[in-house]
Amino acid sequence: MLVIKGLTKTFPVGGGSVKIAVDRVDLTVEKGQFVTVIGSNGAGKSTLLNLIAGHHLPDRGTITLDGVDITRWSEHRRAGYIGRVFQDPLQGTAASMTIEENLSMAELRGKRRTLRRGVTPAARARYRELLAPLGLGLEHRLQSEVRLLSGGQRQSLSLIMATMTRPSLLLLDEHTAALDPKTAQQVLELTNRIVTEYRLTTLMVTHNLEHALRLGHRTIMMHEGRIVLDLSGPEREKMTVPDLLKEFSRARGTELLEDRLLLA
Amino acid sequence: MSWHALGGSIEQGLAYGVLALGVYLTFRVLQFADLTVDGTFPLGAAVAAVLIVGGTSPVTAVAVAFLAGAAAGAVTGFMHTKMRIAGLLASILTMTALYSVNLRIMGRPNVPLLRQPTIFTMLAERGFDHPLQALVVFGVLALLVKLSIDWFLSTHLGLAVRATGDNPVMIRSLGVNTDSMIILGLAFSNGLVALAGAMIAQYQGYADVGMGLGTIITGLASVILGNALIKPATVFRGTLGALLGAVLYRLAIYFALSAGFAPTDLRIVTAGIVVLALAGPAIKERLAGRKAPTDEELDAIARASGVVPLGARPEQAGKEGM
Repeated sequence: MLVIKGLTKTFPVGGGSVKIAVDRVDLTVEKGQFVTVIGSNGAGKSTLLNLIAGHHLPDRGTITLDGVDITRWSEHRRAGYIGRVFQDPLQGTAASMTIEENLSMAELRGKRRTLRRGVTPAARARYRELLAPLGLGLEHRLQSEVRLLSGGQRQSLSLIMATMTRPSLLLLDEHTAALDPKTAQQVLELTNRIVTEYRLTTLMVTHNLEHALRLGHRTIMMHEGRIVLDLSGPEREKMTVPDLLKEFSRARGTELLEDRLLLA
Repeated sequence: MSWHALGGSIEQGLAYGVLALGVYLTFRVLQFADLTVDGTFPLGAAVAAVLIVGGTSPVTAVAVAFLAGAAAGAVTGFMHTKMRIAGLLASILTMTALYSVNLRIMGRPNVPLLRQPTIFTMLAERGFDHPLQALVVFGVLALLVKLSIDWFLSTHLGLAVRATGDNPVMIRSLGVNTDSMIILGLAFSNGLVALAGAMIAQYQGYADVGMGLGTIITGLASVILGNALIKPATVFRGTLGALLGAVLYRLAIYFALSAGFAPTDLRIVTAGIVVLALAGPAIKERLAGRKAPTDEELDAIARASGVVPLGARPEQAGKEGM
């Protein structure tokens, strides 16, 4: 379970002024819940994920994962419990290393790395079993360098690497946005399959409103660093993309109104 | 051409091969141009020479030299990762400081090892006294170091070091402290360079504070030359290339000298080789005179790789396709 309380992050923008990227966000994600995150550019979605992953440290607020306060933990330390897939397919894998070497590194997520042999025959058998269901034929190419794979294959591998140790939390930051529509669809289906099968607590940022509504259990919308809409249950079931767009402009509209009132 | 001199070049090539393997670790594996080696090469020589003169066994002296070099490499790594000093600059700072350290260790600019026990005299005493002795010693040593690097880079720890050079964002997201990996890699590399320094001091019969000048260029020239001949597709081939490159580099110097180059001109020749090798890709591109790819070609490439350039959303890409 992920519990976020009062999480705030500002960035200096020069001239002594600051931009509030994430503004006193409270969010509780139950164990096994799959949450999709939407919002326009600059709404704070990526910053929120970066704060959870420890890429940035917050100015205020706390992050608790499975009851442990990880707010001040270093990025690599919390990576032991948090799997992550990036937007750029090149970022999730080491290009000059083989598929099996990449998988071996992922299998040791958060564990102490010693002078034991990295890829053993037993490990190879495990990796084949893990890759075969993808239907990409990667199980026959364990000793190929990752650089030889296509973007979709690399992203599928990244997804396997992020989830193979069943981390406490999975963060997906627009992980299909750089793929062509057909490949994006395949990676998305794979995502759904893995998250459902392993019952992973998941936050998925997406620009695709249809994906946001169709996948997972809950959808939150961010705007100007805040969560402005939180949908789940029957309310979410009934929601369509045009409804969501309406909600989106309403969220922005009321906010403008509030701002005007405050200024007056 | 004298066979004796040629054999000497191969001996030296294998001796400098250990140095090239150290440079391979930083330059190829960590993608870090590490000038510390200009200081750790004479550091290894100085430590070993002073210990041997003080009565320590030559084998122990070499081991201590390795540790001293590793410590110096760790200092560069610490400055780079924890103090956030640019890698090249951090290594120049350590190299500069090591000049003073090396003079302190030796107490003077040069420590001769004549009539002192060395690994070579020890072997001779035990009955291995043969004209090819040094060749065998350096050959076995270089091979052992090569195999130990191959082994290390295939362990869990070694894989994390390689990934740190390849994609630090990715390996951090798998829970690895990349700072530690950089420090570890630099320590291992500089330990090997100091070990090479310790062995070469015993081979040539002295340690000199000036013997480190251009170490990095020698190492780079060897690694680049070797990898031009053996594509470094795997670690095994990469280290083999570094070794082969070191031998070829010594042979090239031997032939350059036979062809009438003055020894003092060698450094500019070496620098020229490294520049040419590093500029290779840029020169090739120029010569090929590549024309701009057409839209069709670009689309075909994008389709084949399954990647739409960042910024173009799938929805838009879909529409354009219709």
